[in-house]
Amino acid sequence: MNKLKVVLDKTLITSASLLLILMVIFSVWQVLARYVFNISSPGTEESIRYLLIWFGLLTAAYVFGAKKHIAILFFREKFSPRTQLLIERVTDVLIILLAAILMVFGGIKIVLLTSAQTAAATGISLGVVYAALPVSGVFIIIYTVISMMTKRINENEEVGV
Amino acid sequence: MTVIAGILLFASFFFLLLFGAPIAIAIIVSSILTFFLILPFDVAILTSAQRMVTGIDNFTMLAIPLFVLSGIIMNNGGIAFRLVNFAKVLVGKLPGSLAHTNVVGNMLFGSISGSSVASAAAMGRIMTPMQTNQGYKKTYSAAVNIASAPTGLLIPPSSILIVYSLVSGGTSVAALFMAGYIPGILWGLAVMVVAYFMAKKEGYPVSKLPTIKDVLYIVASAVPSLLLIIIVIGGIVAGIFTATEGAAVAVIYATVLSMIYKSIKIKDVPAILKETIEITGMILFLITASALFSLVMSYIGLPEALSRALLSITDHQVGIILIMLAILLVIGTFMDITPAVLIFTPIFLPISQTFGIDPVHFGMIVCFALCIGNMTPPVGSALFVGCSVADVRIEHVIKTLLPYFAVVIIVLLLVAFIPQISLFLPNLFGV
Amino acid sequence: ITGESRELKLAHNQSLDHPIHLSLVEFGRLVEEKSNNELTVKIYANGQLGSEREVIELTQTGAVDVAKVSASALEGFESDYSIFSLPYVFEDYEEFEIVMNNDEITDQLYYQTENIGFIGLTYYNAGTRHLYTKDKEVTSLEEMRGLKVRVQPSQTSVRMVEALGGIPTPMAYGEVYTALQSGVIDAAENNETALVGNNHGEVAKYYMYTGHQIVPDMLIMNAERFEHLTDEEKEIVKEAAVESTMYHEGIWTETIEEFTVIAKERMGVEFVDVDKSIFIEAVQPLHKEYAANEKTRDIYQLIKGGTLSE
Ligand code: NA
Ligand code: NA
Repeated sequence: MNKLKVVLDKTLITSASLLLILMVIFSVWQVLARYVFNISSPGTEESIRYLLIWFGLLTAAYVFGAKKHIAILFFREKFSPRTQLLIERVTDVLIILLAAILMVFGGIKIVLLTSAQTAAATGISLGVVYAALPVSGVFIIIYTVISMMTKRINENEEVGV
Repeated sequence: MTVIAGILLFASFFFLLLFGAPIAIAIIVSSILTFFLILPFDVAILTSAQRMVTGIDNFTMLAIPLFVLSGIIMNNGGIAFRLVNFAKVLVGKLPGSLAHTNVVGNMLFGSISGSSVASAAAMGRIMTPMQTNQGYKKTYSAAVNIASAPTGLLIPPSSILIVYSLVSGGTSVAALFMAGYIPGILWGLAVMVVAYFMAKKEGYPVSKLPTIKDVLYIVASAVPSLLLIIIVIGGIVAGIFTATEGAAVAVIYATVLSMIYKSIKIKDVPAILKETIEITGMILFLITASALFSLVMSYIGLPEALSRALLSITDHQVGIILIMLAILLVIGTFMDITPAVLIFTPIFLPISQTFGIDPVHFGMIVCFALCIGNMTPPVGSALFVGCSVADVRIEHVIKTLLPYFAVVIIVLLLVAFIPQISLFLPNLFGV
Repeated sequence: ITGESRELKLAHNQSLDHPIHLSLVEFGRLVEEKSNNELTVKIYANGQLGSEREVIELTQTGAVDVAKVSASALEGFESDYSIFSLPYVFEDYEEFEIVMNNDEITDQLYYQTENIGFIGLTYYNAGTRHLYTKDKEVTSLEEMRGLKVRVQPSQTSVRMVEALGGIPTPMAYGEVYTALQSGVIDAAENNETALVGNNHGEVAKYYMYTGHQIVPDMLIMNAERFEHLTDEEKEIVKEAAVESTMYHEGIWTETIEEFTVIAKERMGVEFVDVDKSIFIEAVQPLHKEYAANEKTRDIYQLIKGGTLSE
């Protein structure tokens, strides 16, 4: 189980890092194109937006694995450890249901709905963009199952930036 | 219908929240439950799935991961020390000078790192040992650090101001950035006033002044770090590049600077990227969850209904603002700034607009009020980190924090009722 | 169907004081009046339910019943709508009106999208797009050369500016003001409302009547919802739509006249008549492409035939 998680983590971090670097390059390119080369770069802004969607949903999935989505644990910690564990499990099931129904099932439906739709500047199919949702949903389900099988206590962050 | 749906939305949201579900999950589940009440299953699922994706379909939003990334690079870039020395030159003559150095350090470093947590940690680590050596009480130095750490969230560049820009329907990032300076600096000054009197009472020492030669060296070594702010904010305000492009420039600049300082090696890069991914994955998912939440709210007509309800209590502008401030302060005690801005802006902004409050000014009110929650229990990120780096217990620091809390609230009232504090700089620069 | 909500949810992204909002309110009023309040219309203004693309998708899924969106936003869903982006497909507004009141053409356009979940009900005048610059008159192709023109992020708009010799610079609409001011762009193109409504007249001092595009707003409706109306209600909705289009024509013309006066007198914008024929000539390669492309060939022929036959 842990081995699988390591592989998933690596996959997500690597692809998200590449997307991030690509987005930095595109943004800087956009400035250079405007001032230095005096040319237009019609597709960059749109490409960046779609890369960002993939980046956002993949990193969100990774954060589920890392249990770093912020939560308010102050009140839950007033309960007995047994109750806390029960609440934790119920939350896990809720996350799996949500990822399965909304992100995977709903995601596939929205991919089908939008696959014929084309983006204004780049002309790519919107289905490719929306596909980030079911993909990240699958990752979230696997992570949560692994967590249910291996971890006993919640480590979600209480604080953010 | 609005009332029933609204109750379901908020009841299920707070229920999940208090039981410790991740906030984003609480937001999404309550939104979908509410949709199930009013839409067929298929339509509810499709609509929600769509909004989960389009909620992050925004070019400006890229500025968030990029500013986080540049902040983390600068964080590892050994610039905290340079900024502390610089701050010491500025305020070294005041009683309790190390405390003032800490405040100014937080304002400078927080401004660049954009994180009250990173700032409180970096400043606390450097300043606490120095202050302890000079006989400062730990509770005193921790309180100063905690009370001033959130200033960097208001002084640009600032992710939370970008979040507000997005959720308020595209309020100009350049205008918000300019607006953040005076409230952020006033906050810092207010903290310094309290620190001054406390230090005088305790008889804390004044630092030895460095020689002119040292001053020149200190200033020169701080300039490259400070230049980042000038290039990025200047570029955005002058319209040379957008906020997102400015953030990309910040990433490149921070990388080059860290390479020159030799403070980052190639082997540090994966850790830097990983930290960026952890923070932004959390923020972007919250943003997209909130996009769904605010769609549900509009769909059931909740903002209008709440606005009407609020206006039926009082139609006096001062009264309404005070009610909103009270709600935001309470929310801020237990909720992090990002989700709170995401959830409450769509509700309060339309109300504020019925009084003709400028959305930039209103952004300052919301963000300032919620930033105060950073230093309060039960959940306060600056409070937690500030206590942990100073090695003091939260309950021991609270009493010392109270006067700071009071002056910051006074500044909040000034910001809320004197629009010019927020709008002077944006107007001056025509953004 | 009993128990089903008889309320039509209508979404659009303009403010409450925009002429199109008033026309949509008129649409709602007409529907309610003609149906004796059997059908009601609830309007979600200000983009409350999302961007135009999101709202079109909501109309597909049925979360929204009716939506007002720009024809350019529909391009990604149905390539026929891209015909409106083709510069000078209509030489002037009269030609546009003739085409849009030709049932043969509009039926093709409006029902084309039935299989992807929505149909068109009517169109609204959303202005004629003209070129405006910060500080120079542009009346010839020589003067166009090297001009940095902000365009909407669409391939056709980019190609149009290229064909005219300018440098297309796609950027978000909200950034145009500052970009003109700082000189990131030299020019932009839009109808007269941009000068006053978005204050572009403060920084752009020349407005050339190039009239290169007439991109209407479209009123679309979820196909299934329309199908489930009684025949009488279908008639009512269609009639109300067409009547609101005529109503809109009046208030739109008034708004443009009012804005032109404000731009001229208060903002000092100079309005310049240009000889369109040189520009029309320059974009002919684009017309050839539209006529040859199998996705746009039919609608192109239909429209060209429609204008020629009159
Ligand atoms: Na900052
Ligand atoms: Na708090």
